Amino acid sequence: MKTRQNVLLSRTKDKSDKEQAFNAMLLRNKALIWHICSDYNLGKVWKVEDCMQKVIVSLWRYFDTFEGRSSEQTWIYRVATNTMLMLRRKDIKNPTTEQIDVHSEINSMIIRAHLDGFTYKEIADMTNLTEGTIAMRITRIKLQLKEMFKKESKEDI
Amino acid sequence: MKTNDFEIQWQRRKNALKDAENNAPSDDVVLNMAKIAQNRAFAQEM
Repeated sequence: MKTRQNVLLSRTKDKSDKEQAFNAMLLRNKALIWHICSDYNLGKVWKVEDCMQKVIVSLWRYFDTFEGRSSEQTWIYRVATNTMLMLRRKDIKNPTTEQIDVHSEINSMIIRAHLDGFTYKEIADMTNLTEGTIAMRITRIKLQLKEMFKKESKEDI
Repeated sequence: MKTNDFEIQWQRRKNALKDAENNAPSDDVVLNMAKIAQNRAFAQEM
C-alpha cells in the first residue's frame, strides 16, 4: 500500500537518481561543454565560466526531454550551442534581421560540429537537416573559408 | 599571411576540443554548477 510518506520517499529517490544521472553526464562531457562555451568567445560580456553555468541550467531544464534517440554528445552540443546563440543575441541591443542571420548561425553550428568530429548523421540530428544538405553545406562553407583566407593573404602582401 | 594558413588554422581548430580537456574546470566546480542549476529550477517550481 502506498502511503504519503512512501510516495514522498519514492519522489525523493527519483529526484536523487535524476540528479546523479545528470551529474555523471556533465562530468563525462565537461570538456565538450567548456569547449563550446570558449569557442563562441563572448568574452567581452560573458566569461567562459558564466557561459558554462548558463549552459548547465539549460541542460538541466531540458534533461527530461533527452530520449536517447541521438547520442548524449549530440544532444549536449545542440542545447549548448542554442544557449550560446541565445546569449550572443542578447548581447545585441537592438537586433535587426541582418545581425541575427539564422542561415549563418546554422552554418556556423554545422562547421563547428564538423571540426569537432561529429558525423554528418549527428550534425543532421542537431540541425534537423538531411545528411545530404549537411555534406553540401560543409563543402560550400569550406570553399568560402578558403577564399576568405586567400583574399586576406593577398591583402597582407 | 601565407596561403597555406587555412589548412593550419583548420587543423588547429580541430584540436581545440582536445585542448579543452586540459582547460575544463575541475569535477567539483562542475558539480557545484549543477547544484546551482538544480536549486534554481527548484526555486522556480515553488
